[in-house]
Amino acid sequence: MDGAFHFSLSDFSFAFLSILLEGLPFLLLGTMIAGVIDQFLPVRLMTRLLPRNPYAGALVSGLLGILFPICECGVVPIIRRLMAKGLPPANAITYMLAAPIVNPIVALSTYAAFRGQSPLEVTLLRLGLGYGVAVAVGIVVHNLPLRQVLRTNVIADIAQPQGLSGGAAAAGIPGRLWGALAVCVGDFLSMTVYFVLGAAAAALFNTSVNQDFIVPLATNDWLATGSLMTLAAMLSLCSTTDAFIAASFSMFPTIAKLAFLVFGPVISLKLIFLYSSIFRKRFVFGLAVGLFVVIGLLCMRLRVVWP
Amino acid sequence: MTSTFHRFLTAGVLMLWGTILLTIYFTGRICAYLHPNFQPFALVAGCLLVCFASLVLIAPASANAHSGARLSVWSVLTSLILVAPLLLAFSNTLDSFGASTVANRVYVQDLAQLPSAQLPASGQPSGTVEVPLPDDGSNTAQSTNTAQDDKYLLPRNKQGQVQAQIVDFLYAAQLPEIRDQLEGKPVEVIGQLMPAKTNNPKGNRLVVVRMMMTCCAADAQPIALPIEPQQKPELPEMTWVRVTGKAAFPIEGGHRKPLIQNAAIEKIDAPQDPYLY
Repeated sequence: MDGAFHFSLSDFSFAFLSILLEGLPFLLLGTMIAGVIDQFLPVRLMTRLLPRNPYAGALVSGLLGILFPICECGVVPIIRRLMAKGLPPANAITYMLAAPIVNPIVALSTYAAFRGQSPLEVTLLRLGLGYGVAVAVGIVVHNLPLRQVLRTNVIADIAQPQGLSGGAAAAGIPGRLWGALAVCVGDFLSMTVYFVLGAAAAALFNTSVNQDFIVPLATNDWLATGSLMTLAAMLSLCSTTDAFIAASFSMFPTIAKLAFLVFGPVISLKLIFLYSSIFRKRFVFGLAVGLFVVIGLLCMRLRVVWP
Repeated sequence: MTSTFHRFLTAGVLMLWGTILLTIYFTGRICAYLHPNFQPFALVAGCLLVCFASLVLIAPASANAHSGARLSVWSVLTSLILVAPLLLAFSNTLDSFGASTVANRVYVQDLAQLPSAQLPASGQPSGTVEVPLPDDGSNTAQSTNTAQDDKYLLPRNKQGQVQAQIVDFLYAAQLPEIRDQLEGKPVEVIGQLMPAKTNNPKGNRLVVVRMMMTCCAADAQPIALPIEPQQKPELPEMTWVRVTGKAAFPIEGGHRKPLIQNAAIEKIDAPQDPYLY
């Protein structure tokens, strides 16, 4: 039991089910919204509402989470449908990365969790960094060919934007509702496959790896930041409550906790699998590595605030 | 034929997920998995999945056709991924963690490590200190939510021992007004027995732990209180025990640490809600 790894099937099953039970309702909510978007959102509406300038579009998309707060599990099926409705992928990815952090629920939970530990600074920096990183990724994606970013089937959806797909519009409201159900169920099943795989990986780490091994890393800022970001990715916590876990790492410097709070909601084991349902694996890998480096370096620069 | 099979396959997968969610909810097992705030979401999701499964069966053919539904090796494989791990986990879970997982997690033995603990940065008690009380309903009737108003009174049992939760000891190590109620007094606390991983210079200490859940069981952290037993108990790890002894708060490593000395250990049944929130 003193080793670094010890597997127990019953413990793994318990953690696996608890992650599924926690995340599944939000994934289902996301796919229900996706179904409604598919059947009821007029094509190109999003494009008309957002600024035409891609940079301004990314800046605005990063703030959409304030109006449409959704956690990281639910946002993936939504952006898939929004892209099929004509939302530029750069804007969709900006919204996907920003929404789990830049939203009022996360702001409140972060402030509450860090009371007594510079709550205002931590909350503002979390939202600010999350927003900045999401916008930066959106701008980078805008300059990439779609075939390097999206899976072929998703590109095909974008190439033929769906007004009201499958002629459901002609069938009236009942037809659209049946269509929304079909889209919701289809998206739910395809996303849940990846969610199951991600939850299994997270549960394996959660129950089998001895977390005492990361504690000695807390004494070095670089190691502390890197190890907490890795831990955030492995634990795959929900962004609405992860601040309470982060605040409890009392032996770690605040910049490492901030890195945990910014990195975890955008890259985690469960999200890597969920992202793979839309994006090319190479893009997902690049996104994970790039965000790890960028968020880590940005947080390290903040040592001047919390020496 | 294949579309009919696909329709039944889809409905079957949804029905299975919905049924398992509802089974876990209505048997009360949901309490072991989710924080009370999240439990209604599982109920709603379970009901929706069962409804969707029924609707898929009666949906007009056009609705299934336009979603691109088709039977393929991939759709069967994904259905297997959706069903097999769920059934495997559902049939193997014991609805609680064993000793190895608890030992794999960092013990919380200091108030600053406690999720949702609200201490001022200095660590000194002040008028703004909030004391989130243990929420298992066992012994908090006389307690209130602030230390400032001096009403944080820990109850006593029939033997006159102070009935405290493990988190009370963590707060007491920091807050004199709570420590005064415990230090040097006979106390009673319940938890699960585990070996002491640290702060055990003579090798004679154990810890009693309670899991504190923030969101779901996967994020639960063991809150640990060191004890010095009168004699080493012959009990397996993670056994639920009632510990009685004398509360002490020695300075160790430059910090005040809670400890129960001369502890008597008695095996008990698990409480109805094993978690602290």
